[in-house]
Parts: sequence; structure tokens; C-alpha cells
Amino acid sequence: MRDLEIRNFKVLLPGFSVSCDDLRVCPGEWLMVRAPSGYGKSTLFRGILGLESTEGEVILGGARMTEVPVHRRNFGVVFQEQLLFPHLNALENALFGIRLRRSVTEKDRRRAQDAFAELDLSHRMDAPLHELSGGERQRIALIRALLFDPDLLLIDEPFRGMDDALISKSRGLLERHLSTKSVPVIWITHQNEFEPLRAKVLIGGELNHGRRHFQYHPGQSQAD
Amino acid sequence: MGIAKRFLFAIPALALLAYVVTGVMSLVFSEGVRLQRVGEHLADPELWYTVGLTLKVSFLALFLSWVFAWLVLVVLKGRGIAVFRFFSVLPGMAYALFVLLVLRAVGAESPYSMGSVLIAWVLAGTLYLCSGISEGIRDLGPRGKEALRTLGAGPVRAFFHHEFSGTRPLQGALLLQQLWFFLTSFSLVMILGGGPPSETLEVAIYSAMRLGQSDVSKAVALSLVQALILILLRFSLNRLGSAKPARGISEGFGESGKKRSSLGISVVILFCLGGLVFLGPKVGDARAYLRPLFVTLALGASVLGATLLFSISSYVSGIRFASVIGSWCSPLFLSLALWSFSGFLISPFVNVALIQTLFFAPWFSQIVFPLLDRAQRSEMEAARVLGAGRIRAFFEVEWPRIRGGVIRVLGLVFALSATEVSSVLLFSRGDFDTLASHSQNLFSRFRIEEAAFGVMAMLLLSAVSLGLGERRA
Amino acid sequence: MKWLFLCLAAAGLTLAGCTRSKDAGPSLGILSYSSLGSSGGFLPGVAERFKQQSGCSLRLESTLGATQMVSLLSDRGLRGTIDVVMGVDELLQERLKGEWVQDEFPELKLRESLLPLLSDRVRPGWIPIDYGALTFIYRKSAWKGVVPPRALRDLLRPEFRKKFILQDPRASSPGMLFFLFSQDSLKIPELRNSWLTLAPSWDSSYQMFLSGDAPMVWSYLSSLAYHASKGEGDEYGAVMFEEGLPLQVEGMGIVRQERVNPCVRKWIEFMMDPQVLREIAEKQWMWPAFKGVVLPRFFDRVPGVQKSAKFRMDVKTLDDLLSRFGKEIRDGDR
Repeated sequence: MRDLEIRNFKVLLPGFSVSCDDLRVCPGEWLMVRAPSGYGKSTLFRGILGLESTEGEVILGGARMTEVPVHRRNFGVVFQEQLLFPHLNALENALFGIRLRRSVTEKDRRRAQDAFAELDLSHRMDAPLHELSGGERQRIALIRALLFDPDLLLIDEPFRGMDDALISKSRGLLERHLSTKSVPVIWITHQNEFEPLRAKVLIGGELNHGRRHFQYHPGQSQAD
Repeated sequence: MGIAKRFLFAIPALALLAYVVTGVMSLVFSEGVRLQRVGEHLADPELWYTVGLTLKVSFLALFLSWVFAWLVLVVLKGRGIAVFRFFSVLPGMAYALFVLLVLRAVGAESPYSMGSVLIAWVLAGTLYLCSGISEGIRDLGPRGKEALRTLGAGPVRAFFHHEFSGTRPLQGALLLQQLWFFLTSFSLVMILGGGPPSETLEVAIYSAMRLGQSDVSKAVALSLVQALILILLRFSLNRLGSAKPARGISEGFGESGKKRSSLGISVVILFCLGGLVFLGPKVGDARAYLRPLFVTLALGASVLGATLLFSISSYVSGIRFASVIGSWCSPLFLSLALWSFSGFLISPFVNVALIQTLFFAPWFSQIVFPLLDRAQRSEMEAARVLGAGRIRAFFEVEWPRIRGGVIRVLGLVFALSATEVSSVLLFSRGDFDTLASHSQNLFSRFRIEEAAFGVMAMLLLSAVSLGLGERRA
Repeated sequence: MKWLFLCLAAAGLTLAGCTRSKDAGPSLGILSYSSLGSSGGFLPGVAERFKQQSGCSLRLESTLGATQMVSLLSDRGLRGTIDVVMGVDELLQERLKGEWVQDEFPELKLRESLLPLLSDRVRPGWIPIDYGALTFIYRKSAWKGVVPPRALRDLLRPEFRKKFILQDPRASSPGMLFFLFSQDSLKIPELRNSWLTLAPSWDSSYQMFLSGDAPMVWSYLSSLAYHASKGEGDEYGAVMFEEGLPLQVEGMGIVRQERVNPCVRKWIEFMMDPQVLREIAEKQWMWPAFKGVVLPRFFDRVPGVQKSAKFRMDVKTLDDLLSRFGKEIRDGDR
């Protein structure tokens, strides 16, 4: 079982820092990171991914992630801006993470097709990126993050632009995936999109000018 | 990137810089140069007459080219403009001959004057600016204009705020490049100008160093003034903002533009093939062209490789000015300076490849560096997070985005190399000939039909190169 | 990536192919700057034959122009491999005479072997090889009813205004010879508005002439032989100035070295061979400087030079002309 531990963690930027309480998230648990816009949620997110300078430790299954290069951490990420690749079509984008690790097999394609069907995207598999709407891109980004079986999921406001029906289907896909491969999930949001059962919460606040800190509230699932 | 790694990447760029600086210094500090004489030349009214004439005609040609380019763009609405790009590789002599033909046809009494130079420059400038600006307009896409129209802008205002203002930085970059062409234009002015006093700075440098008198002090003085002008221009026009070709997917214009360009280049290729067939029987033994053809191909490939190497080295290491050093001073002065240093020191083939790399690397920088500057950092990070190392992330994410521009400019560099003659004549020491120098030698020995055959072969090669660049872009 | 690799490999092979191999055995270093040394030119054509006759192989070097040649020969390190310089005309000879051996090779009886017209042109270390007479070549059809010029001052007549092409004296030896030839008869400011253009080279000027830009061009008298070879002999004529015609004599200079290369004398003797001189005439369309050469038949169409013009041609005169040339041109514009 690969628990996520965060200890003495701080993300360092020029004139600005974001820290959080020490915490542990078990596989299948959700860590909701909540704060108003501009409070440093994405900075914390980037720090955990390894895209910014940090102090402290991020440990996954006993391995110190701070010593592992970004591309080897095996994190599944859904970015707020999706960050799909415009020169690839929808299906190629979804399979991108697998392609970086090994050859894409027929089984991978079937899994991707099933995921597309589940999220009402079957008819868009060959569509170039510029023909997709924001909501469609959001769903494809979610599929991309799940298909290569990551050890940790980091999700940044994935349901933006979706109606209730699509949110429900996307949650269903996510929860089904987690039921077969249980991993910790870090979920960034600034609104109540949904409330998972086993959720811990980090709530952002300002210490003083230039320093932000996220406090850990085990079991709390309400926004402040 | 660590300092050691950065230094490793910088080696090719630093080597090129050292080569240029050593060459120029060895000429400047040679026995032929006296600082006092340089000062005397700088105070000579004759020099400032040449400067004034150069600037007057250049700026007038630039303004007229810009006006005509917009007129053509408005009238043609982008149709057929892609073909104009082919003409940017034609040497100045081609424009000179075309203008002469036209002036003769209309019965002009005296076709050799700065007025004819102006006409040729405006023609070349219009074609170049047209093709550059039309690409910029295509990259803007139609959405912005649609937004303007819905906000209440009529066609004229929408045109001004979208096509015209949206391409302003690009226009600045293109105008700067075209002005550089004018300031360093040589064979065109030599042919059309009619001789002194109708000569520009570049021609004056050549005259100062050409025949026996070898007044290097005068050439140094002229080169200093020319370099100063180029530096001032570059800084002042850069304030308009660097040209930012927009990324992304063609929105309907790209595909049809590519087809039109392919059609135009196909027509040119057929014309060249027809010329070769027509001239073939007059040539006798066409096998004499095989070795020059092979050398042209090999030289072009070498120049491509060296251009890539030096440009990437200068970009990655941050010494960007190394890749554009060839565009900061007179090509003629640079050639002669480097000859005095390395003409008999380095193998002729390497010499020719290096000097051509110096001349053509600025094209690569001008077109590709802005694309690299606009690297999509977020997407690169996404690729890295998904499991791609730095180099793989570059090839998976950035390369597809910039590939079109890189391939196109490589096709252009190859075509420029194939039609370049002065560097081969200067540095080859008789060891080898390219199609261009072979044709030049034939012409100088009255063998006109054979020379024309060589020129056709050269044009065919450059058209194929450009066509491949367009198609694979 | 594979294309880049292939390109680099091809470049490497070509580099190897283009690098000259060093022949074992005696060799002669020849520097030239005219079309003599280019591919298809005279020198590469005779290299094998010379080697068979003399046992000396040729190492050919060429430069783009006179300035490079001057620069090369004044560099003590670089000139070490050059024994002979070909294509040196009298103008260049004036500048380089300090670089030649100070020997007139009397044992070779050069003065006796040269044409009487040129027998006094031998200089220490410099041997005339071929020559051309310079004059205006004109298209006869353009001069119907007009008498071609007979004297230099005739060029200022209204019927010749903008009707002839010259070469820029700062870039072209024929052009320089015209202005030296005419310096006593014509002032540059008054001539300025008469010429159509000053072309950068003889090549380009002749192409302008052939294209019909002007009916007359400053060129070589032997151009008539070229036109005869094309079946156009009756269409072109040449001006025979009463002042005489300037001669452009090209020769070879023997470079002063610490040790005399024994191949040098063999080369001089080879170049005096009538058969070799005929080949030069065929390729360069110039007359050989030595007696006893049977010329190609087209040279029969070229009138003989009755009088060769005499004028100042020293370095000081050259430099003086070049230094005032630009200013006098502008004076002519006002």
C-alpha cells in the first residue's frame, strides 16, 4: 500500500512561499485542497509535482519523491487548463501517458475506447483538438490521467464546464478506477463540486505578506 | 542548465565567434590599415555622399515596397501570395536582369542609374514583404476580425485593427530584414547602378578592396559606418516588438496556401526542366555538370548541418548574437576579412561552408528563434509530469509545433547555398566548383549556352529544395 | 535525424574528395586569378601533359582577384608554396614586381622569341604569354549612316552619347586601361555623361552589349574572332583609334624564393611551346606573345594592330587615378 506523506513541506517562489501542515493520505483517500482563487493552490500543486523549488518531503510508499525527477514520479495529473497537445487527436492525447512508458497495445486502446464511451466521447475519438469544446477536453484530460495507472492522482478542478450529468459520469469513471487501483487522490477546488466519503481537507490561509499556509482538517468536508 | 553543460553547448557558437573576430582583427590590424587613414576617410565628403545616397534610396525603396506590398495583399486577398516566397532566394542579379528587360522593352534611354536600382529593390521588397505579411495574417486567423465586426467595426476599421495592427511587430522585423538586403545589395547595384557615383556602401567596400590598390583603411571606414547603421536600425525597430508568429493549427488557410505554393513551385520547376531540355543539345557533354552538381548538394547539406549546429548552440547557450553575426556587417567585408585570415589555412570546402553558414544562419534565427521563444512551458511540464524526460518532451510537444518553420527555413538555406557564387569563387582556390561557380566560369569564357544550362540547373535545384520545404512543413 | 546524419556523412566524403592529395615527386605551385585556373580552363587541361613531359606535377591555386593575389604574395608564410603566378597583366605586374626573381632568363632568348610588338615588354621575373588589344567592339547594324569614332575625342560627340559601355576601372583591368589610355585626351567629368554605364567586369559589360543595351562596348579586338567562330563575323566591327590601341599583356611572374625550383624553367619552356600557346588562344581568345604559333582560323577575321598606344602606367599614376576617380565622376554630374 502506497501512502502519501507530506512533511515540513514548503514551496519556494521569489517573494512568496506556500506551506502546508504535515499529513498522510492513504490509498483510496481524498485530500481536498480548498482556498479562494489566488491563494496558492496551484503553487502547492506544482510543488508536489516537482515543478517548483521546495523544502521538506513528499514520500509515496516510502520513496522520497523529492529525489525523483518529475517524469519518473508516475503521478496522474488533470491540469486546470487541461494541457492537451494540439498536434494529437483526442484518442492520441488520451493514450499519450501510456506511449511514454511502453508500446500501446490493443488492450490499451479498448480501455481508452471504453472510457470514451462512458463519457459520451465515442464520436470524438479522431477529432483534432481545436474542434473539441472545453468540456470535452476536460474529460479527455481525465481519461489521460487514469489510463496509465498512476501511483497518485492530482486533479485540479476537473469538472469545470460540465453539466451535472457529465459530472456524475466523470465521477463514476474516477471512482470505478479507484476501486480497482486504489491510490491517494489530491483534489484542488475552490467550490463545492462534490464531497467524497473519505476526504481530508487542506484549507488555505494567509500568515503574513507573501506567506501562505494550508491547514489540515481531518474529516472536514465543508468549505469555509 | 548548469554552467558546464551551458559551456558545452556554447562551444560551436563560441568557435564561430572566435573565427569571425580573429578574421576581422587580422585584417583591421594588418599592414594595410592605418587608424589615421581610417579617420581621414571618415571625414571625407565622398564617403558621406555614398552613405547619404545609400540611405536615401534604401528608405525610399523600403517605403514604396511596404506600400505596394499592402496594395497587393488587399487586391489579391492572399491568393497566389505563397508563390512569392520562391523569389526570395533569387540573387540580386536576377532582379537586375528582369528590370533591364522591362526598361528596354519600354524604350528607356538610360536604364543604368539609381532609379533602376530603386525599381529592382521595390520589386524584390514587395515580393518579400507580401509573402511575409501574408503568413502573419494567416497566423492571426479569422476569429479576431469576426470579433471586431461584431463589435461594430466596418471593413476598413476591421482591416486596420486586425490585419494591419496585428502584424505590426512582424512588419517591423520584415522591414528590418529587407533594409539589410538593400544595404548589403551588391551585384544588383553593380549591374544596374551604372557605376560611380551611383554606388552604395557595399559596392564602395568592394571597390576599395578590389583592384590592386587595396585601400583597406577605406573599406574599414565604410564597414564601420555600415555596421553602425545596421545596429541603430536593429535597436530602433526592435522596439516595435519582436515578430511573434502565432502557434498552432492552420485554420483553413494553411492547406490551401500550401497547395497554391506547391502549384507555383511546380510551374517554376517545369519551366526550369523545359529550359534544360531546350539548352541540352547546345551544351555538348552534360557530364561536366555532374561533379559540380554533387558538390552543390554536398555543400548544401554541410551548410544545413553547420547552420543547425551553430544556431542550436547559440540558442541553447544564450549567446544568440553569434548566430546573427553574419547579418551585422557587410558580407563582402566579412568575406574578404576571413579570407585574409583563413583563405589558405583551412580546407577550401570547410571555408566555403563556414562563410555560407555565417551568411545564412541569421535566416534560421529570425524564423525559428521566435518559435522556440514561444515554447509552451505548460505543455512541456505536462509532458514531463506524464513521464517524458526533457529531450523526449521537446520532441513530443515542441518539435511538432516548430517543425514546419524549421523545415521551411532549411529548404530556404539549401536553396540560398545552391545559388551562392561569390563565396565559392573567393574561397574554393580552384579545388571544386558548384553549379553556380561553374556557370560563372563558363560565362566568363563566352560559353553562354553552357552557362545558361548551369543556371537553369541551379534554379531547378533551389526550386525543388523550396518545394520540399513547403510540402514537408 | 537520419537525414542529418546522411548529410553530415555526405559532407565528410565530399570534403575528403575535395581535399587535394599531395603528389610525391617534384611539383610546381602555380597561382592564377583569371579563368586560367578554373575547371575547364587552360591550366587544369595541361597539367597531365606537363607532368608527362617534365616529370613535375602541378599544384594549382586560384584567387578571386588581384587584391587577394597581392595579399597572398606579401605574406611570407603563404607564398612559400607558390613558384609561378599566371594571368598577371602589366598593371598588376607594376605592383608585384618586387616579389619576382630579378632574372630576365637571357639563356631562354625570350626577347628574340617574342613578337616584335612585345619584345621590349619582358621584365625581370615576368614573362609575357599572351596579349589582347583593347578597343570598342560595335554592332554594325546599329551604326547605319553613322561613322564609328576614329579618335578618343569623338566619344564626346552627340551621336555616341549613352551608346557605349565601359568597365569600372576600380574593379576591372580593361576598364583601368581605358582610363589610362584616355587620360591625356579625355577628362572624366566631360566623359561622364557619354557612357551608358560602368560595368563591374568585362564579363557583365559584354553580356550587356550582347543583350542590346548599347551598340558599342570596350572589349578585346580578338572578340571579333569569337564572333567569327559563331558565324557572326560580318555583324561586328572594331574601332581603330588613330591614337593606337592599348595592349593588355598578360604573363607569368616567377616568384622569388630562397631556392629556385627546377620545375620553373621546365614550365617556362613548356609555355613557349607553340602548340601550348595555340591552346591558350583557343580557350582565352587572346593572341600569343611568342612567334611561330599557328592560330585558329577565326583569328584571320581580326585586323592587325598597326599602332600600340603608349601611356603612363606606373603605380603612382594608377593610384592617382583611383583616388580622384569618384570625385571627378561627381564633378561630371553637376
